[in-house]
Amino acid sequence: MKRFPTANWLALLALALVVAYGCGGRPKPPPAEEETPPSSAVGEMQMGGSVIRVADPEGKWRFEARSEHIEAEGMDGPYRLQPAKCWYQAEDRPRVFMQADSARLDKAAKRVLLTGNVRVSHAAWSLVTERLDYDLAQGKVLGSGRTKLSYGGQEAERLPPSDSEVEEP
Amino acid sequence: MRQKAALCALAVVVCSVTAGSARAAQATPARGSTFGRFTVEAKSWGGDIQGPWEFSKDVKVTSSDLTMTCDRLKAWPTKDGRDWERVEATGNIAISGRYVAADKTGWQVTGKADSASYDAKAGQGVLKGSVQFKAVNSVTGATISAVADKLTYDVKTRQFQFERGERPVRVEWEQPEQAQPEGAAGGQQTGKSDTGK
Repeated sequence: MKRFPTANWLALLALALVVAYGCGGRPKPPPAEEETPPSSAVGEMQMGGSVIRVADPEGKWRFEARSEHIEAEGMDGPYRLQPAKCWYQAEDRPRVFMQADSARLDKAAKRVLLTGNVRVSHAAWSLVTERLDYDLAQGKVLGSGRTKLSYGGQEAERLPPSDSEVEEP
Repeated sequence: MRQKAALCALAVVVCSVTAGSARAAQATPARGSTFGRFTVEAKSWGGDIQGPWEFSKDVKVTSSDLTMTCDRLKAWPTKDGRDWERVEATGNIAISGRYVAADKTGWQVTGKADSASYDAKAGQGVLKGSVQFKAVNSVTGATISAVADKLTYDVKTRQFQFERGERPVRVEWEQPEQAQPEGAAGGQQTGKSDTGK
């Protein structure tokens, strides 16, 4: 029986590789997760870049969360942000800023859980707590840890960076 | 007259703390705020994020000179969040600290009540239930104490009113022993009065 030459084997292998991967060269690795959060604009939630926005369909409130690192547990979240900078604005009320070491945003339940060095601030007051479980739809704090509110001092006047005020949903 | 002045100072202290902060912080008031700087610490916080807020479990309100502890504190900030419409404190209210009266007299004060409230619209601070207060003049050592069921302070008129139901309001005043000339009678001066409203 005639042996198939080694050179032919190599040629066949090269051909198979070309067929398998195409002729466009080496495929690009998938981008980092935080750069490509699920782009599904489901309901009133939109995601773009490292920003998640949630708004009441009737326009009664708006919420925005930013982070350098966002992980989605599924196509529609919940999302984990680490760290997190957020703001919440109810109709006819001043914007309230929040920041924490991490946040878990559940758009279906319209709830956000901030944990670790949580700071909530406003022009006249600031508040620090260990954790903050917040219902976006009702605008209510459902649970918190030890809390300290500072009113009227310099600390209260200091606000998070204003970059989160730039974009509108 | 001295007694009356001391009582007046006491009442001002009471109502300052009732409102969740203290007049003693007048030197550094927040912009446009009825009260000065203060902090509220508690084990739990709830309510709307823009108010009203409810603090509970080991609540401690601290201003520059005065501290108030209570079981629960509910606060209604104004719509712009820069001032207060109403403040309510309930359960085991205890107040302590230093108060400087308008005449620059310093007083060490302690107090207790079952509930306290401040209402901006009414312009009143109210203490209710087993109201007990004691103030000691930091210079003379003079002590004045009062027992009542209710104390109302009008912020605008700076008038106060003690009430004790059908019973008279009890006020005690004690002047400490002073150095007397030889041969003169020494000892403490004390006063006690049970008055109506």
